[in-house]
Amino acid sequence: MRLVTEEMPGRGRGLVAVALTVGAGGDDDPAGRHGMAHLVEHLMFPRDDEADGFVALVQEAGGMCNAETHRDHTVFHSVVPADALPDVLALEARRLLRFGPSAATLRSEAAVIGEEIRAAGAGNRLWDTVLAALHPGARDAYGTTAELRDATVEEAQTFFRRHYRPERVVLSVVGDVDAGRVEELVRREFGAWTTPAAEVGAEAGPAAEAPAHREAARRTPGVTSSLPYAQNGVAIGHALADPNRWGLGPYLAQVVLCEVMRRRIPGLIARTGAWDAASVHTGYQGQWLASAAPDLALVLLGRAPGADSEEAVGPWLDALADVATAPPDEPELRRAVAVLRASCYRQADSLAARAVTHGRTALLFTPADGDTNPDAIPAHLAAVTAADVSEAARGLLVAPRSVHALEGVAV
Amino acid sequence: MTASPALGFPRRTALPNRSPLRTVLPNGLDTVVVAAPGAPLAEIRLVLPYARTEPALAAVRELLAAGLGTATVSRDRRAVADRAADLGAEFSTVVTAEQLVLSASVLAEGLRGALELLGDLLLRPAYDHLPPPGSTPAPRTSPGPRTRLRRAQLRHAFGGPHPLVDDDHATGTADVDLLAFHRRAVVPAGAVLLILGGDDPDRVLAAVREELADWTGGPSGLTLPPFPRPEPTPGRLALHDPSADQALLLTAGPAVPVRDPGHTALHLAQTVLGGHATSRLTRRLRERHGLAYAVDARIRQNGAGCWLEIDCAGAPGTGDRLAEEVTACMAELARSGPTPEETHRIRRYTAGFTRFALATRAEEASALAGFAASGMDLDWLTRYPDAIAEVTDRHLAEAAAHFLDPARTLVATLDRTPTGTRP
Repeated sequence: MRLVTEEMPGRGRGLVAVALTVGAGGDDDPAGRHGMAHLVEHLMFPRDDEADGFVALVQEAGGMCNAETHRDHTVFHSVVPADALPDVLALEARRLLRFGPSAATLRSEAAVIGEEIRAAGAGNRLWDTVLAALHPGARDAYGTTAELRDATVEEAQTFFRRHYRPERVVLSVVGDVDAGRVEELVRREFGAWTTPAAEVGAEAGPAAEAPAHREAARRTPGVTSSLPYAQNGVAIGHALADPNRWGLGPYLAQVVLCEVMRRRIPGLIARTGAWDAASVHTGYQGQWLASAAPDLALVLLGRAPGADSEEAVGPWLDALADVATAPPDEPELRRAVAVLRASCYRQADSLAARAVTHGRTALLFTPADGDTNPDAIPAHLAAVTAADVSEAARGLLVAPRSVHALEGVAV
Repeated sequence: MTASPALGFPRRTALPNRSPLRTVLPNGLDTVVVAAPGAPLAEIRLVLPYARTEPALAAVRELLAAGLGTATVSRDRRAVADRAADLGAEFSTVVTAEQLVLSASVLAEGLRGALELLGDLLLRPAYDHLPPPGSTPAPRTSPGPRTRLRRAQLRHAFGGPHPLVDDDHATGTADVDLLAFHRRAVVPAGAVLLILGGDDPDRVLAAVREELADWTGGPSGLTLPPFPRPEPTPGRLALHDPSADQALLLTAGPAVPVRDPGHTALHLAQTVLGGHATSRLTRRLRERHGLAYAVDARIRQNGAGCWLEIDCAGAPGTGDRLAEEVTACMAELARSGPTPEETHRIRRYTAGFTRFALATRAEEASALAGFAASGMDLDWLTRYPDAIAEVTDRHLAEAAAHFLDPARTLVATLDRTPTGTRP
């Protein structure tokens, strides 16, 4: 297990954030058990005895906690007063060392997830649907209710043993702490956590889709399909550059491009007449650098009455082509970069978000040209040039994309 | 395990001097500048009194809040958005029962520009980009179930007439004059401006003086008057609404405000009752009886008064049962006091949780601006753990006995079925 500690004396305000990031997510769901990673995430919060559960104990220490399952990782994060750090590390280690959900807990958590799936609806999972069109086999990390209904404790334990292994976990600790003391505590609590000999070398990669398959799919042209949605429109998925393969520069230039395009939307709506609304979402649910490749930019265009899908898509591609041939001027680039830099700083203001970012940086991102830690990104953004943005537009135009007609239904 | 070298900030031997700089400018603006050395963003909070002191103000309050900060006479909506983006600034507005808070966060190097933009928005506003008066629907003539219950609860407890218990007038928006209301409501006297950032506080204050020197007027008088009765009248109030899709419960019990010496003990007693995930009310109503989707107890405090409020919602037809269980839960805690285990847990929980209000610079700016606007000391929250430590177990038991006594509390419900009947 890797440990990342960020000392923030004073800034931490007597608080500490702990993020346990596991290199397994929805992509690792076994065949026929879509949502198993999500279920195991829920089972990491033992609720057999509410007063003695993880949430209650963290709250008792005056803290708060939560977790998220993504396609390629799962992250558990807590923020507590710094003097409660030993307790929280002990709780984290205990739930890893003693993972053993009861059948009743599994049933109730599967039902809770079923409710989450229902509440999310197809609209919230549009990003995943569009990604799946570009990368066949990719699925959302929520799960499928019917597949989780028959999940067993043994299956959950098998998943846990296979994927929740020290070498696939990063523990990040951020706040009013001393790194030496943190290391001492972590060695004490997690020292006994080792991968069982029988599990060493066991298959730990994605179960639903092999990486080679995914790579081939990346080059496959997108397909046009029709999806039910809250309103008539078009969804376009553009594959983003892989920062681990091509470096951080091209990826961040595409992030800046998306912000430039977002800011051009009011003018484009007025000019084209084909849209009545438009939005651009860069990265998973609008969070860039939240998942490793494949990542995408999702463009949602509201079709003006009488406009068909082709009429809506054309102006968007033309607008991208405009940037590809004429770089944004200096004020336009400066605005986009300022907005993105400020957004980075707002996020990095939160101890929990910093801890999560450290976990992702250590586990998911290994670009050759830079670091993705919370304080490094604004400088990388500031280095993006207008020529880079033009190049990013050319890259998006030739990269795989998928187009989906959105058909308005009552949701 | 592998440990990476510790990242980030150099260790400091002592906390930086963070004493806020506070002054009232000649135009009456109470200005607070908080130093946050090295902060990459600056936070701005402008808190304006904004109570609906007359029922006819409902529509104009809503419209002005939607338009404030979006355009000026020399900058249209687009130009304001572009200028904000140039600075890495994000503006937003929140309205509560008694205040309007205009918030901005901006890249540190853009603070001066953001103050210039703020001055333009306050001094030379434009509202002609909003939908023309009369084109938007009038406010609902009949309030929703929750608002009805809220007004009835407060009317019974504290009397009327009062802005928090009186119904809106259906004025519509046709005769709304936003610029006139702006001149009345968006004024410096009576308002608080807080800026938190990395710049030298004296320089920040000089910039504020320069950009907002011409902003004058006030106080607006848009503050909540005290309720006719300071103490809640106890009893049981049951409203009946055949269209209600859930049973609602609100209580109003005695309470003392933050500056009262008895407040901290009350706060601890309230937290045991219904202020955290394993509180008495949560365990009894949600987990033992499955009666309520959510239940909490909190101390309400504003210019009108201060009261202890339990708030919960259950399935239609359960209003009487909710009232019985809430009353029994309060009576039990008032009679016997918290257990030693509860007392231990709640002290830790409360001391820890108070730090979260200051966990980020954005939250700190909002919290400090709120304290300043409420007349509280700016360091109130940082001193709160000491206040908690000073509350003895006996104080806590006495607070529970006094403030949680159902005989001193109004219990109000709204349900589909009339009281005394079963679904």
